[in-house]
Amino acid sequence: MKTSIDCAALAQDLDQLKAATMAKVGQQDADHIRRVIRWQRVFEIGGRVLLMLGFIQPVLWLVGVFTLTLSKILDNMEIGHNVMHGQYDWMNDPNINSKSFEWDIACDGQSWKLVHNYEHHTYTNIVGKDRDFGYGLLRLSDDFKWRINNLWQFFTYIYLSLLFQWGIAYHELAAERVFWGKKKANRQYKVSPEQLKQRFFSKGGKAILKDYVFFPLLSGPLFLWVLGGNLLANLLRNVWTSTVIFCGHFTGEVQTFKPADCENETQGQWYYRQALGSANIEGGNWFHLLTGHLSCQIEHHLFPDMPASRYQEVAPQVRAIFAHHGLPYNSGRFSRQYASVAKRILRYSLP
Amino acid sequence: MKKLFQRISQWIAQNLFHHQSLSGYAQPLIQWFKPGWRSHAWRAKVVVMQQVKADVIELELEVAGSWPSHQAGQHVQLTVEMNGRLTSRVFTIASSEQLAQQQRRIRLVIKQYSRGQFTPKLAEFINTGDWLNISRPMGEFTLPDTASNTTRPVLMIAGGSGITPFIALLETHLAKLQQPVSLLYFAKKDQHLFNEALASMALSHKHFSYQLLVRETDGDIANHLDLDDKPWVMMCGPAALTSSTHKALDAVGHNDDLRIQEQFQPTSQPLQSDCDKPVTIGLKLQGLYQKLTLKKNDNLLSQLEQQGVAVSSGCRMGVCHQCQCVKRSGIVRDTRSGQLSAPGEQLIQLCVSQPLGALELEL
Repeated sequence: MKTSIDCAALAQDLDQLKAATMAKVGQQDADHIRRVIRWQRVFEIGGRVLLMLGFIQPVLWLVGVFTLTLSKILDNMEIGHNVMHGQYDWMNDPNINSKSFEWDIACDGQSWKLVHNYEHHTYTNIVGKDRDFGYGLLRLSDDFKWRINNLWQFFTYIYLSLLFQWGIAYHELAAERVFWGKKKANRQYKVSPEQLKQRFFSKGGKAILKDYVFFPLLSGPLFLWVLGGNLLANLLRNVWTSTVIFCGHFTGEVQTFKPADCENETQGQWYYRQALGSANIEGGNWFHLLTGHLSCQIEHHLFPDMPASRYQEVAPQVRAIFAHHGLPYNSGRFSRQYASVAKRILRYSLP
Repeated sequence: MKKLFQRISQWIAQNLFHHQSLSGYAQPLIQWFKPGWRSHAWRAKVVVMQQVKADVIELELEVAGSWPSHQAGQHVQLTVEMNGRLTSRVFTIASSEQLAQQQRRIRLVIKQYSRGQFTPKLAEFINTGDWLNISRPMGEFTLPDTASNTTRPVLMIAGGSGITPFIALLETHLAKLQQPVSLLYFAKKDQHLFNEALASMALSHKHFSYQLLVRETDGDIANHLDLDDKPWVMMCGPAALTSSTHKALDAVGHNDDLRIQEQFQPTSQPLQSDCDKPVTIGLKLQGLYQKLTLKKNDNLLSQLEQQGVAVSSGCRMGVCHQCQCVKRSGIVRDTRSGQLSAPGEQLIQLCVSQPLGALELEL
């Protein structure tokens, strides 16, 4: 990878920052994740109960929908995503670790961990290696050949947002060509396609059974209230997560790379690629929490296994290091970043 | 019936709350009412905590009503949250079965190793009134039924902090035993523990006698063994003591079946810096156990791959956690930071871990 930046010095600065921050990780971070998990439980149970009280007062149902949405967002983002990255494995807690954690989403956690942590975080934004860039559905740079269906890709994006959990679930399987596509004879699978397929149906089935059969049935005559509430909560969660993730990865400034770029890559070059391949969203503490601190996408890409509770703390220092080395730090308000994403999707829908 | 209930609760946990167990799911809520409650262990409250010697700390714990009481001589795994990390070590219970059954109390007498990562920090992280966690009682170092029903004498041999199970055994069984019971207790000069307890037991039980010994002045164990009555021999202490005891017993043809031994290791194993010396790894893979010999100067992942072990791997740089596994015990070095791990159970990534001593892994 050719760059005018002194990657070795960049690596030294970032490594130093990481070591200094990791040395501070302790009780405060454990308390943070435990507190979030506790409130997630309160919101989940509270939300499911409130949905059933809709027959007394419909407003309660509406509150229930938002509470359940909040629970799913916390579970997927601040808890699930970060725990499955191994950020809290040092706690030695049998309930909070990347080996056993499973989340409230259609995508099987262990399959996701496999593809996301390996493919996306190792080969970030390398076209052809990191399939998260555009998810194989959207054309977001000139690295991809224009096709006719890119014309209406903004609508594809809307569908993807609404069905994001299923998009993710399917996406993890597409990598291994589980359902169709060319199977390479000598391909080394980390998990067999059969196992991935079994996990897809098993986890997806559970997701449907839970929200659209079991809990509605449990509520008896209130079947439709609960079914509708769950559906809405899932949709809201899908739109929120997809929006946050798009703002972190696909704003106008985010760059792509070629497979050759990562051959014999040094730690510094890897950091450099992470820096140019992500974008931050600015906001208050609550906003950061609800994005699972993926609003600090740059910090997350640089230090994927640092507890997310530390991202806000290191962000100003990362920014200073970037400035010192002449690297751009892509950060902006939510409205600005979202407009930038929308523009990019529209721009590349044309040749 | 209980099995069926368990299966239903597990089905609900896994299918409706995407968690391995309902108790694990509910744990954060239960902790609101019961501080320190954990789905994987029992609760215990620190009732007494005192420094009995400069490097020995005594804990008296009030244990949960549901805790299955121990047999004298058994140990428990004690778990303390230290700076956010659940840290566990194994300690022998140094109190009687009666105390546990009747008053729900157990006593741990813990030697603090200055180089350790757990024992010297106990006072920093726990206070009287705090809640800790203990495992179910474990271990086989108990008095066999056949030993309590005969007239054959019992000879106890303790070294250093290996005295703890004998205190539990004596407090539990001494009143019932008819035959002579004697204890040879080796420790460094002025480092013998439980002096008062031993003295008062010898006073109230005519069939019990003991000697406090110091190896430097009193010489080897062989000088002190009286094996004429072919006693039961129970021993617990450092390897040097138990091996010389076995040698002395072999010399007089003392029956192997009459020996009961507790494996005993200090909690902090000294580190060896020599890189070329091979280390032995115990590896549990899909239920199968195997032993492997590895080198210290290379990471675990590539060494396991070289030996043909089916491990999954990804980035090979500590980012993706594909090669993560459970380290049951042993010390590894993180190749990125050079930091040494704690000796207890934790998750490690094989690609960035070098073995520094014997390890037990579960893939």
